[in-house]
Amino acid sequence: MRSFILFSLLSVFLTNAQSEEAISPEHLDYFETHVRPNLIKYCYECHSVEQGESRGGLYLDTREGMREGGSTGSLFDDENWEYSLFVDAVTWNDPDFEMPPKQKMPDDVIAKLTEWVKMGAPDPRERETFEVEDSGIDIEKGREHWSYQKPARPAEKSIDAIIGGMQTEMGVTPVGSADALTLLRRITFDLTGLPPTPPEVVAFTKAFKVNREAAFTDKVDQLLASEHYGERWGRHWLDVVRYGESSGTLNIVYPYAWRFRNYVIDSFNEDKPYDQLLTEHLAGDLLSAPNDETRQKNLIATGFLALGPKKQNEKNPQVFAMNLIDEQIDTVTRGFLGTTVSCARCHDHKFDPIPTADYYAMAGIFQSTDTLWGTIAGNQNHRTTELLDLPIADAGLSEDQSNLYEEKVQHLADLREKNREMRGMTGGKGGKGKGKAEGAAPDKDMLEENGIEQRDLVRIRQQIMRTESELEFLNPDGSEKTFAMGAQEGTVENSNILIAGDVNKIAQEVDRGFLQVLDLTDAPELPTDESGRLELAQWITSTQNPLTARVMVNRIWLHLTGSPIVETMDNFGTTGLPPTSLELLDFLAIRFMESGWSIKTLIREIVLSETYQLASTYDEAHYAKDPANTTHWRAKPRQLDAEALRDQMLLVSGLLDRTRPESSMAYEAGNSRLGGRRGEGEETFNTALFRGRSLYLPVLRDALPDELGLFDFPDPQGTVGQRSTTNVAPQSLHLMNSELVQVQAEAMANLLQNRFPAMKEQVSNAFLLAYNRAATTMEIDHSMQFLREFDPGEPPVIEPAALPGPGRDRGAMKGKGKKGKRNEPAPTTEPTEPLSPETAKLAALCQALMMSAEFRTIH
Amino acid sequence: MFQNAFTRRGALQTLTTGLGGIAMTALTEERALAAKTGPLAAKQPHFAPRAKNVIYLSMRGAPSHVDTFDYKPQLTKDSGKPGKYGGRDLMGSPFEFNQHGESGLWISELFPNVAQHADDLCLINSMHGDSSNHQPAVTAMHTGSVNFIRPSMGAWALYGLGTENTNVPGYVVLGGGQKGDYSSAFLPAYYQATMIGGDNPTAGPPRVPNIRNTKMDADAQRKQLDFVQWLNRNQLERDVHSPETEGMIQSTELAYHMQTSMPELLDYESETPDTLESYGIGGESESFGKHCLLARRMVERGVRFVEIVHGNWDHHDKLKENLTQTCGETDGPIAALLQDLKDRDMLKDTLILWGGEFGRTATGEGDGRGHNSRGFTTWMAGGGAKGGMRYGATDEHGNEAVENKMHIHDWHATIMHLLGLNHKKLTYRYAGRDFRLTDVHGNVAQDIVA
Repeated sequence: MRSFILFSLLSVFLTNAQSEEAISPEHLDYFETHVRPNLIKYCYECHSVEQGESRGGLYLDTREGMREGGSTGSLFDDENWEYSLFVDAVTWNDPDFEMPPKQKMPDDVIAKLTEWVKMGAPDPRERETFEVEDSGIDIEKGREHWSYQKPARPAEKSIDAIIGGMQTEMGVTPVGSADALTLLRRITFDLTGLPPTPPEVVAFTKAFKVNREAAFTDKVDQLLASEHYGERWGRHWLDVVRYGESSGTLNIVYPYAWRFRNYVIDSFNEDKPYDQLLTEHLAGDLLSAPNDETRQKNLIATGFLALGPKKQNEKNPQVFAMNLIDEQIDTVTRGFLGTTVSCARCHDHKFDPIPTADYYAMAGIFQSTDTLWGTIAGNQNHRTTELLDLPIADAGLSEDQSNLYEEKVQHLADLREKNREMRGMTGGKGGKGKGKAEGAAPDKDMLEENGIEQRDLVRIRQQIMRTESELEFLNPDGSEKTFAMGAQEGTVENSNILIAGDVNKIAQEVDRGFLQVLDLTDAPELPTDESGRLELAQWITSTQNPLTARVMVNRIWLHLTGSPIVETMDNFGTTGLPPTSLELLDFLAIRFMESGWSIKTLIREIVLSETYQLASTYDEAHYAKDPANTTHWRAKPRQLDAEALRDQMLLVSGLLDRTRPESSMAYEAGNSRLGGRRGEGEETFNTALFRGRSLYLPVLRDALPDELGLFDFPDPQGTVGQRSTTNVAPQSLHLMNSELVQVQAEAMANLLQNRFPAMKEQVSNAFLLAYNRAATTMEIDHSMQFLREFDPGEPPVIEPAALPGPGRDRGAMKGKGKKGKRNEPAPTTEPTEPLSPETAKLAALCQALMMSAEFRTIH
Repeated sequence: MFQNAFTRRGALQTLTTGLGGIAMTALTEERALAAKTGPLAAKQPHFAPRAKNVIYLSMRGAPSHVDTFDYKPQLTKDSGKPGKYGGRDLMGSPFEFNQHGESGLWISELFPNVAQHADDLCLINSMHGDSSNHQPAVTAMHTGSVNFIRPSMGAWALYGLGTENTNVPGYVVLGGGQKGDYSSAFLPAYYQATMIGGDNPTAGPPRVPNIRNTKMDADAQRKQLDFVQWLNRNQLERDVHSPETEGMIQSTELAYHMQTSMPELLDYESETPDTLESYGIGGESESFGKHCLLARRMVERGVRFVEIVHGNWDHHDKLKENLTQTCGETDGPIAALLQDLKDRDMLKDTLILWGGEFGRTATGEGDGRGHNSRGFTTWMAGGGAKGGMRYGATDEHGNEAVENKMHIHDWHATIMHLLGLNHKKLTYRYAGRDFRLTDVHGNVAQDIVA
C-alpha cells in the first residue's frame, strides 16, 4: 500500500546514473525493440500517466509503476517468473484477468513479453521527476500572527475580573445571578447532558436556601464525579475527532469503532490529562504499558487515526493512501491545533505561513504508519486491512457461537467443492497458491455444455472470498476475536512532495517533521527507525505550543457558555477570526496547562465563576450593544442539542436505560454495508425503541438516525467545533409525529398515572418532570381543561405506499448480519394494549410539554 | 399588484390546505389569516418587482466557464502555449461552441437543450469573487461573506418579501449541502431554509420524515398544538426577546400545515408522463430532474426561494469526460424547467439562477483545470433578466473578468433588485449596526434588467 514512494529522488541525475548501470546493452536493445513498442500499443491507453489512466491503480509506463503493481498486487513473481501476474494477464490464462481485455495480443508479442519477464523484466524507463522550488513564504513574518505567539499571562487573576473589564469597555453590566432551579437545570445539563430528577430538584432547592455557594459547589463536584460527565464531555470530544461507525460513500460499517467511543468516555471520566489523551490518540501503540489493561486502552486510542470517512471504492491504492493521510492530517491539525494544514496539500497555504513542504513533512509521519480499519473485501470494497488483535479478550460479549465456526468451515468447503464441480475437475489449469485454484481457467467448451455462465463462476468466487474473510473474525472455538481499529508502525520513510497533490507528479523528498511556523525550542528529534507519531504528539502537547491549549479551552468555553472566544473554532489562522478577548483565552490556556492539562479542573473553575452563574434575563439596552453576548452580560439561553433533547425525553418517560450498552448496533450489524447512495445497501437500523443514552446510537455517516440528524448532529466528515443550531419544521414534525416521541409520551403518562391517582397531581408532576420547576396555577388550570376536552378522535388510516414518507425512500432491509437473525424485520412498535382514554389524553399533554420551547432550552 | 397574473397559482396555494382529507376547522382558517400579518406574511417590496420567486441552480465544485458559457476562441488558438498566468500551459476547450437563437449567443455543445433557450438566457461572463476554496466560496455565493456567519440570500428574500403560502416553507433547499449556507444567522430563525430530501437520489419523492400522525386526528392535533403554542407564548413573554422561541412557534405552525401540503406538493408522479419524461425522470437525470420538477411545483405553490444543489463539478482531471457527465445530467432537466415555466407563463415571474462558486483556470492542470475566482460565468433567465444577452467579459483567455465586472456582491444586489428590493434598504439591525446582504458593497447591473 505504501511502497510507492520508497525510492528516493534526490535528483534526476542520480537516478539516471543508477538505471544506466542497472541495465545491460543487450537488455536495453531487447526492451526497446520488443517491449516498449508493445506496451505503448497495447497497454498505455489504460495504464499510463500520459493518458491519465490507471485502471486498477496500475501504471505500465515507468519501471517504478510496473514494479509497484496495482490493486491486484505485484506484477512479477521473482521466484517463479511463470507465475507472474503479468504473464497470466497477457496470456489470457485466467478468465477473470485477461489483458488487454477486448483483444488478445498476437502470439509472437506474448512470447516476446513472456521472454522479457523471464529475463527479470529489465526496464530503462524512468518516472518523470519534478522539483518544487523553495517556498517564498516568509515564515518569520507569519509568526507575528497572534495565535502563533505564546499565550501571555494576563494581569487579571480571575475569569470574572477579565470579563468585568470587557463589560466596562462595552458599557454593559451583568444582569445578576440565576435562581436555584435555573442554575440546577443548567449545570446538570452542562456537566452530564441530562436534566435533574425531581428528588434532585427538591434536595438542591433546600440546600441552596441554606448556603448558595456551598450547595452549588457540592452539586458541581457531585456532577463532575458522575459517570454521566464522561458521556457528555466525551461526546463533545467525539465531534472534534469525527467519530463515526461507518465509512460514508460506500458506507461500510465499522463494527469495532465503539471501543474508541468507550475509551473516550472513560478517559474523560478519569480526567485523563489532555496532553496524555492526545498522545494516546496519536501514538498509544508506542507507549510503554505496565500491564495489559493499559496496553489495551493505548491500542484502542489509536482508533482515532482509523475511524475517519473513507472511499473504499477507490481503485488507485496510491490515491487512496494519500487521501487517508490527508484526512488524518486535517483532523489532527484542525482538531488539536486549530490550523488548516490540509490546504497545503496542493500548494503553499494561500494565507497561513504553511508551505507545501510542511504538509509533506507531516505526511511522512503518517505514511510511516499502518492504519488499520478492517472491513472485508467484496461489494466494491477494494480497501481493507487487518485489525488490531487486543491483548484482553471480550468477556460475555458474544453469544454462544460454538457451532458457527464449524458451520462456516463446512460452508466454505461446500462452496469450494461446488466451484470445483462447476469448473470441471480437469478443466482448470494447475493451482498456484491460495485462491488461485478457484480462479483457474476452466475449459470453455465444458462450461457451455453444462450451461454454466461466467458470472456464476464470479459469484461463487466472491462467496468463497467472503466466507474466508468472515472466518478470519472467529477463533476456532467459535468465539469472536477481540479486534479494534487502530494504527501501528509501518515502513519508516519520508514523503515526497506531490505536485498539486497528484500521485503521478512526484517531486523531492522532505524529511519528516512539524510545522515551521511553530518554532518550539523543545521540539523532539525524529527517530530514523520510528514513524515519529510519538514525537508529533510531544510537539503538539508541548507547553510551548501556542495553539493546543488555546484551541481546547475555547471548546470548553463554548460548551459552557454558548459563545466561543474564537468564533472560528477550528481555524485560529490568519483567515480565522480574532478572539473576543485574547486575555481571557490566554488566562484559561495558562490555567489549563498549569493544572496539568486537567479538563475537569478547568470546567470547575469556569462554572464556579459568577459569569457562569448569571441569569439569562434579557436587557434591551445591553442587547443593543452586545447581542451576541461576547461580554457575557447574561447567560445565553441555549437550545438543547440532539442528544440532550432525546435523553431528556427518555428520562422523563422513565424509559431511559442509564447503563452503557456492551457495544453498538453497528457491532451487532457486523461486517456489512449500509444503504448507500443508490439504495443498494444491506443494513438499516431501527433506533426508535433504543433506550440507552443518545451517544450510544449508531453514528452512521450519511445515514444518521433522524433523532440525531434532524437536530443538527454533525455528519462526521471531519472535525466539527461548533454545531449549527437550526429551528425548522422537520424538527417539529419529529416531535409531533415520530414513533420515538409518541412512545416516550405514552410511557410518561403511564408513569404519572401509576404514581399519582389524582389528575391534578399528574399534571403538576408532569411539569416538575419536564421543566424542573413547579407548575403555576394558571398552567394547572389550563392543563386540566385540556385534559377534559381533548379527544384523539379517529386517527387517519394510512396506506404507507400512498405517502412520500419513510420506508419508500430507503433501501429495504435485507439483513446480512453476522448473526443471521437480522433477517427478521425489527418490530416497528412494541405490542401494547390500546391506550385508555385517560392515558391517551395525558400522553397528549406530556407530548405537548416535550414539544414546547421550555423543554428544548437551557436558560 | 399580482392579482391577475397568478390565478392558477392562487388557486393552488389555497387548494393545498384543503387536500388530504383533513377538514379545515374555523380555527385554522382564522390562524391562516393571522399568519398573513405575522413575520412571514407577504410584504410589499420597495418597488415593482420583476420576479416573485427564485430558483437557484447551485452547481457545486465550480463548473468551467471556458468550456460552457464563455466562448474563448483565442484560448483555442493559444492552446499548448505557455500562459502568462503561472507556469502552466494554456488549454483550449475540447468542446465546440455554436451560436444559438436569434441572439446568437455562443454556447458549448455540452448544453444542447439549454442552448435552445438562448434567447431567454442572460449570460454573466464577468463574475468574480474573493475565495478560490470551495467551502468559503460557496458560503460567499450564499451570504456575501467568506468567513462570518451571515444570513443566506434566500433568508434575506424571505425577510424582505415574506411568503405567499404559510402552508409550505418559504425557503427550501433540495439536494443537501451545509446548513450554515442556508442559515438565517441573526435574522429571526423562521427565515432559514428547510432542507428536503438530502442528497439521496433514490426513486420516488424525497422523504419528509414524520409527515403523518398515527395517534390522533387533525382536530385533536390542532388542540394539542394550541396548548403547545400557549405554553410557548408564555415562554416568549418571560423571555421578552427570544428569536429561538419565536422560531419554535413558527416552525411548529408550519409543521402542522406541512402535513397536508407536503405530500401533495412532493407527489410529482401525478404529473403527466410527458412532463416526467421531459425532466428526465426515469432516465439518467432522475435525481436532478426530480428536483427541477419539484422546484416548479414549489414556486407554483408560493415557495419564495428554492435552491437545487448539484455536485461533482470540481474537474481537476479528466475534464472532457467529467464535464460531459455533469452537463449531461443537468442539461435536459434545466431546459425542461425553462420550457415548463414558459408554458405556464411563470418564467416571467420566476428568476432562474445558474452557476458555481467560482470558475476554472484557462491553463491546464494535467487534463483538468484548477480553481479560478478571478473570472467566471453564471446565468440568469426569466424574472426580469434580459434574455439573449451576454453581460460583461473576461480577457481573451477567460482568465480574469475585465469588462463590466460583476462581483458576487453585485450579483446579490442585482438579484434583490429583480425581486423589487433595494439591497441598500433591506437591512436588519444587529449589534448596533444595520446589516445587509451586500455589506457595504454591491451595484445593481441595470443593463441586464429587461
